[in-house]
Amino acid sequence: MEYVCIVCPNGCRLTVEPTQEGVVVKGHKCPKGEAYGRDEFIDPRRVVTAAVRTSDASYPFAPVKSDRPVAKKDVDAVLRHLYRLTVDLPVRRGAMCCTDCCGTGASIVFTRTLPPSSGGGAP
Amino acid sequence: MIAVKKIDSVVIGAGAAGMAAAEVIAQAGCSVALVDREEQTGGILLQCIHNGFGLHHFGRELTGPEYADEFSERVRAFPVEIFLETTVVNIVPHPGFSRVITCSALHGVTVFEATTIVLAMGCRERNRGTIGIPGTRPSGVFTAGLAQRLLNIEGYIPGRRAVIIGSGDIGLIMARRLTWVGSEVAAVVEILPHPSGLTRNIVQCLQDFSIPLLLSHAVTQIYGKDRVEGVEVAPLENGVPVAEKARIVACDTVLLSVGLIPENELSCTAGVTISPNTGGPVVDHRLQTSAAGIFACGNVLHVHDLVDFVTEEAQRCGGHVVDYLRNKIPAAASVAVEAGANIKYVTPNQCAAGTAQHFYLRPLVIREKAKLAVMQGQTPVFSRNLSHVRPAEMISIDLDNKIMGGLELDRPLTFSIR
Amino acid sequence: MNQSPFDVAIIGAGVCGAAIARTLSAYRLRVVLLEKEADVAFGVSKANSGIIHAGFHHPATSLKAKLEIQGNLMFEKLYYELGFPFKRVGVLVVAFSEEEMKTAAHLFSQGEENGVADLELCGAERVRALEPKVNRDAVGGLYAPGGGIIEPYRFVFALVECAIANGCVLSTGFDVSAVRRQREYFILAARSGRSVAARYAVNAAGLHADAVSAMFGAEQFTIIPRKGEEYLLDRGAEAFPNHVLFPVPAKKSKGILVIPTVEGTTMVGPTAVEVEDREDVSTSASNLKAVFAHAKHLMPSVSRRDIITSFAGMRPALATGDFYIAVSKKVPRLVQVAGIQSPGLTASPAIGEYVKELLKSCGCSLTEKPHFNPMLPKITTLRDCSPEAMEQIIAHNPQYGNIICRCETVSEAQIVEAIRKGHVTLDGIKFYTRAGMGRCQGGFCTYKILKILARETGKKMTEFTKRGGESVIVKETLSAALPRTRGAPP
Repeated sequence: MEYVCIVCPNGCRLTVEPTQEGVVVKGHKCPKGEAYGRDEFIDPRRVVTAAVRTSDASYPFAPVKSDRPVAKKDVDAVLRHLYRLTVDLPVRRGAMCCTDCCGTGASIVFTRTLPPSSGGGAP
Repeated sequence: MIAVKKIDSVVIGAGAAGMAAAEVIAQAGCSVALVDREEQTGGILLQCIHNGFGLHHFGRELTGPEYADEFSERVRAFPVEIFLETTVVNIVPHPGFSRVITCSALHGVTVFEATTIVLAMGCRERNRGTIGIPGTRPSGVFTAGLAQRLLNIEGYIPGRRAVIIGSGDIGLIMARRLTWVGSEVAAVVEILPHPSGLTRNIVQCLQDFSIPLLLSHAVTQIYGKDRVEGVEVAPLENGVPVAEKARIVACDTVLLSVGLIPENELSCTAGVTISPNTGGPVVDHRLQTSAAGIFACGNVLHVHDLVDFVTEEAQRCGGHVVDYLRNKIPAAASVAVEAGANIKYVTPNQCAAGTAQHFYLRPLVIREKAKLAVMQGQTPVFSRNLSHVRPAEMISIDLDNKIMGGLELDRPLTFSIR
Repeated sequence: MNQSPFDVAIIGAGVCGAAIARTLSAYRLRVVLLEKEADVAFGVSKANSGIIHAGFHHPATSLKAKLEIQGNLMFEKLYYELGFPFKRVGVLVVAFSEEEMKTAAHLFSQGEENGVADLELCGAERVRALEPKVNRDAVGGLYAPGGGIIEPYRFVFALVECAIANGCVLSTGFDVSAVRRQREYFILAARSGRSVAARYAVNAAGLHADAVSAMFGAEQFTIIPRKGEEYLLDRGAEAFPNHVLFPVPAKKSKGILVIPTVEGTTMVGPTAVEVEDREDVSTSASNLKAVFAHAKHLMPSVSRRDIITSFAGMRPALATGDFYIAVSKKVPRLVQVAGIQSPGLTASPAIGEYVKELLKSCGCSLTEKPHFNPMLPKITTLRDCSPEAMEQIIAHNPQYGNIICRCETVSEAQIVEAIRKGHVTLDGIKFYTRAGMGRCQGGFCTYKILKILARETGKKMTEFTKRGGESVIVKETLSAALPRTRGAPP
């Protein structure tokens, strides 16, 4: 498999191949690049960010993120879960929105502090 | 009666730049008002709910709202007077102070008599009009930032099948966001032979979803009577669209991510000189504009690629404002700064011999292994090897007291890439 | 029948329909103004150049010249009454050769014959004194101080608003698709199923006047749509002229002009291309080039860098080249108002009077209303106000303190006013208030306007359109989101 390394602006083109001695990464200029290539091949992960519906018309959505990268294959499940949620205000930046989301081990946390409800519902 | 407030400093714009500058000014014990037209402090960061901010400044990866919240809390910890939902309608310079005229629904007209002003209004997006895409004028054509606001804060999906024009970072981020809400991104069309955004965004926002990136292509027509129905995409050869090779891509939405323009209409009312290279004010080594006591920082000065650099620049700007307020006599700005080969601009536009100076440079070229050379005439002043140069990445350079002390007076300092 | 019968139904709420409606609203008549689009002025009138022509372009024998001259002289009074943006800045035709000077001299005598006051044939120096930034190669020209500029859609809005205030009924989204007769009434049926009855009808349907005439079984004629592309330059553009600048006219059009707008922007254009499709208001890259080449010839400082937007409009021309305004010879009590291309905007108030006389001639009885109010309250805006004046305005209505459109300094109060007056599309609000018309083209204010619309009308954001029809702005709420897996498997 071929990847472009995103660790630094160099953007090394990596070739990753499984061999009998394990996964071999080529094309990297630094150890971070090698680790990136290996991870992308074996277990690619992404931080998920989204906006979660609130019960408040002034701030109808609250931004959230996963507190650690989740497996790429699980991103859709996490998003589907988040789109179904409705939370009440106030929320605090860093506070838990849901723990161990969809069994990924990652928790979802709010990324913005929003004040208490002013009444009214979201669209 | 109109309220008139005498104050040391008015900071216009409560985004990343304005908050950082206001914090520094307040920290030094000066009186400062932070004015913004929106309902919250934070600026455009609030709609950038993706991560990737703050690696330089905080040493960890934050989302836009987190980055903004950190500073919102910090300005609230100091006696910064915050005026939200307040619009500055005019700046009238007087000897020794400026009158900043503001209005809001809550306070009516408030006039600040400010010894200093920090311009921190940010920038606006280039739009369909500015780049002149021919065709009909249906709904469904959005700047990427407007679509981002509608989606991430208001909670509306702009459309179900989009073509994104321009491969700037906001466009790439929106490609992923649209995919994540179930819309299809038919293509990202870039007029240049290389992407304008960061590699990590190309990988994580396009490649992750197999979204085609059409380099050296242009959208040559927008179709649709009421709502967008499609666009015509043509490859470029020698910089010209080839009509015979054009094809129509069906879509109901067009997003534009084709560059940002510093928003300086207000600066112009204050009589500030604007640089044609940056689109922002011409500033001296203290980030002071051509109008005495009026300073500028952040995207209103020049468009930055990382918010971390905006913060850095704004904090330095705040420091200069404090020095100005304390009547610290600065070194004279004795050396002009010029962009040489392969550089679009360098800011600030002047520096002082003997005073350490920070510079930001915007390269014009893509190079592996290049050399940055700083010269005064034929005399080398400083050089640095760069492993990687591209227009999307600003170069940040510190020249220390010693280097700056060696400068001759009244000869321009030229930055170039070889 | 949805409503009790009207005396007069006017088909088309462009500038002609609007002017006719306002004129008739001074009389004891029940008048209905029917518009197929979502708002008034959304057809030909919105893409007009906004010029009040001086009256020298057309020969005295034409109906055009007669109504142009009459109309031109009516604008001071209209401005006083209705307060739309208007300035009599004067027009200047610039000649670049002795040959062109001959044409200018011809226009001069034509204008004199038409009765245009204060025309002046100028030499090179006089042209430069009047317009210092004009191309130095100009050898002379024709100056007409009586020419002027207005905001065309604002003019139409004001006419309609005044007509409504005096009892006229406006029906938008009313696309007349069939006409039948029942006793002394025309029954006009819309595609939507609505219908109105009226004793008299006025066909002011612009681009569709031929189709409407056919529905009545009246005269056969063909509207020849002629497209014009225009480019708008930002406030503060170097090229902003003192006068409306014309080249010496070409055969079918007045040429590519450089126009100062009342609001301080500069307009260049229009092109003049006959097209097949009446709805085809697209712009093209080749025309952009042509427009700028011509405009630069007049005014070298015209720069593409200053463009904030471009648009195209249609002229509803007839083969005769003249206006066709007459009582139908085939269908009694129908007045035809067709072929109203340039100088239609200038002529429109005179067309209103002319049509009134035609209606009278075919039996419509006109009794003046004792309480006709020709005046409209002035639109309040913060732009160019002193701080003291601003403070008073905001004290009176705090919504004026909330600036929604930063580029054009438009307050929330103005948006609310537009909505309450029935302008409930983004374009309608834009034309009424200028919000979204500036350099950011709605990049910052669109979502704010949508939120105000939702609040004021109680409708959902997904229901609002740019200009009616299928032109919705946002399609769904985030509740409808489902991630889309398109990526190749890892």
